[in-house]
Amino acid sequence: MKLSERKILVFMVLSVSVAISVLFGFGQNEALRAQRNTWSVSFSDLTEANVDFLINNQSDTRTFHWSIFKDKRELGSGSVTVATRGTERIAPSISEDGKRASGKVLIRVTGEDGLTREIYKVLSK
Amino acid sequence: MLELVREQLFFLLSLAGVLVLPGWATLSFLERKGRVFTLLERVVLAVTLSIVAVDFLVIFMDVLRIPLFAWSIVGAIALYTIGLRGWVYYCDRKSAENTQVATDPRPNFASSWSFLFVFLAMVIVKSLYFVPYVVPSSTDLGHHMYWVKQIGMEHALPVYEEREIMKGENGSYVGEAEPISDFIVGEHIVMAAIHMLSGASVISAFPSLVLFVIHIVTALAVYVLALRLFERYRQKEKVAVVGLFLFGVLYAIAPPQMKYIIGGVVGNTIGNLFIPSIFLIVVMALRLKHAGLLALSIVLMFGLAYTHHLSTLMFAVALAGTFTVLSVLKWSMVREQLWMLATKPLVLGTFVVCLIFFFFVWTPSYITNAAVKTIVGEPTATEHQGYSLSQLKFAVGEPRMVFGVLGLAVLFASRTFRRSDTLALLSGWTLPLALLVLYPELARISLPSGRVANYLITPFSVLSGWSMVWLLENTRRQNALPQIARIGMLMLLLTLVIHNGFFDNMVYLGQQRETVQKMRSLFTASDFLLENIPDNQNIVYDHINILGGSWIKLFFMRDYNYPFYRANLFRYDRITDKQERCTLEVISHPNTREAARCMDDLDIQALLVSETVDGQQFKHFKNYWQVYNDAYYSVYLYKPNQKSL
Repeated sequence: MKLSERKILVFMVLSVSVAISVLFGFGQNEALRAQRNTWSVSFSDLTEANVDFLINNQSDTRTFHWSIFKDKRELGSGSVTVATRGTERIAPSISEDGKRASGKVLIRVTGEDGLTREIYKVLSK
Repeated sequence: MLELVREQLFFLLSLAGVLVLPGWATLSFLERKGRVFTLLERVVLAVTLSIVAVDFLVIFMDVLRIPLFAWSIVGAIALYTIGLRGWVYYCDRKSAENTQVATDPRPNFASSWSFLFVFLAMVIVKSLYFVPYVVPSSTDLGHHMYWVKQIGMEHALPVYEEREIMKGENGSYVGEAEPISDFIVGEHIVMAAIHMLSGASVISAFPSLVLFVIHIVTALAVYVLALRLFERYRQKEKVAVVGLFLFGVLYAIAPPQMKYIIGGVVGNTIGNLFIPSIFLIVVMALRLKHAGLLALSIVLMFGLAYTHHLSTLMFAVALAGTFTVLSVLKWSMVREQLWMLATKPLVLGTFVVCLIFFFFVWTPSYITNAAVKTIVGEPTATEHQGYSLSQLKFAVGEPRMVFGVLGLAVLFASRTFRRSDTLALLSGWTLPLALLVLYPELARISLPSGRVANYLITPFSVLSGWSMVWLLENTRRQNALPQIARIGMLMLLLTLVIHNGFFDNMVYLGQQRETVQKMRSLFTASDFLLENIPDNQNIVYDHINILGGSWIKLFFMRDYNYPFYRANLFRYDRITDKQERCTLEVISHPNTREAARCMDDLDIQALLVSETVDGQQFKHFKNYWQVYNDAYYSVYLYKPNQKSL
């Protein structure tokens, strides 16, 4: 059965437009979905002034447990709730025996998804 | 939801405005005295002509120092379109007043359900492959989008240059900006126009979707070209449909198809559309003795030269081959008709104007940088030293190669086609390119053999379509075999052909990667670096283990070569390639004196690496802090003069 060129053209334009629209929309959704699968930890400033850190939460995980270590000795810990697509700043104390800790200070954050992230600074005396 | 619909609508409208409208107006101007092309041919040529029209309009605006904003580009396209349509309307009125009736030689090619089925199958297979890659991740595409974003930011065409790390007597330093020949402006103008008109972010699916549309139109170009080349053959539609099937459905993903679209091989993808389009116009120009069409083909050839140098060279080789074969087959036609056409004032004038524009008004970077010299000479790189026949068969696709060669032989033997422009084109297109792939040392041109082999896929698809249909028709007509044997032969043929091409598709469709998650991590890490590392400090990232690392530069827009990166290791062994080793040492051996010297000389403060591959080593070294960590990547800050841990 033969079809006119116009009908063929309409079909082609429709099929390509649908494919593009679906892929475009899929791209937006996929990017958003992937965003909900990641969380990161970083220092809020890159000097020795403090060890304040940020949890940037782009996942469905809400609760995070953090610990701060000097060598293998735990200086402090806590839990925090961070909303999805939210960022929370935590300002832990880094005192050791009443004095400001020095050396490698490591922060370990574990999410309720079981994943762990670590960052550290080396503080001078 | 409403926002998504609005974005999609704007994107589709921008596509239509940039990729269809100018070309359609050009065609209506060319056909003002009577239709020349079929509707499907006009679709193909509308897109091709739109790309060229927009390229030349924007280049012209840049030469006149008109800033490139959405409104100025829309204005230029509108002026161009309205101007041409207005002229056509005026000519129509005049010809009505003069009671001259325009001839309408438009042929009537009605297509069949089989074409619809094949076209739909092609769109579905390719779309399925596209799905995991809608969030961009390709390195090449990232490089191209840097220039597209720059056009959007600077509102002018870019100067293609970069600042490299140099090694001097007193240590390493960042050199002055030097021109680079890797890019041609035609690869970026259409993308930039759509980016500005639609408002779509360059870090999105839009660039790949634009290439996807151009690629689908390329498949349609192969179909309409096959229809034209075999218009004297009763089964021309079957030839064209089988050709489309072999081109667009089998090996639908392997290079140069979806792998190139996802991979961001922009110039080659656009070039693949131009080549069959230009040949279609040249064939029509010769058959109709139409000087206007020949002049148009010259404009398209120059448009190709502004888009992709390799495609331009391959087209020139194919054109020269076609002309040579045509001269042998129909010397009298060449001597009289072609010469008469080529020396018409319109054709000569167009050629001269294009030449002047090319060399004196706006010259592509590969000419100004004399990059052409680098390909002349004995092929030295391994991938430039030619393919064996077996490798060529693998590159083209076994069924396409086998049936393509058969198709060529049948054309030579056929009474209808043995002295035709069809034979001249298809043999002139395939034979010189095949020689370039198999024996590049004969031509003394150093080109990547795999890339050259890709240019054989289009003519071999058309030839294969022809030979398969010819085989089946002749077997049926001559009653050489009983019907059941004919059906068996057809099934065997289909199984062999489809198995090869679909097996190739399934291999690629089966590859799944954590692309989207990794790219989200990369973008988050890039945001962190942008916010925390001062402008006077530098960053190095690891290209080897970070997926899509080139996209980082779109966050900084400081220089094409920034942030600096550790390249693939073999590049440091090539003297002509990476002449510095700082980017290698600071990530591969961060605790060495050389690395420390590089960090100090170049003010490198931060390193972005894959935590699992390279991150662990930094934890043992006293001079680094780990200041960012996500699922895949970490940022290590360089802190010299750090006391011991």
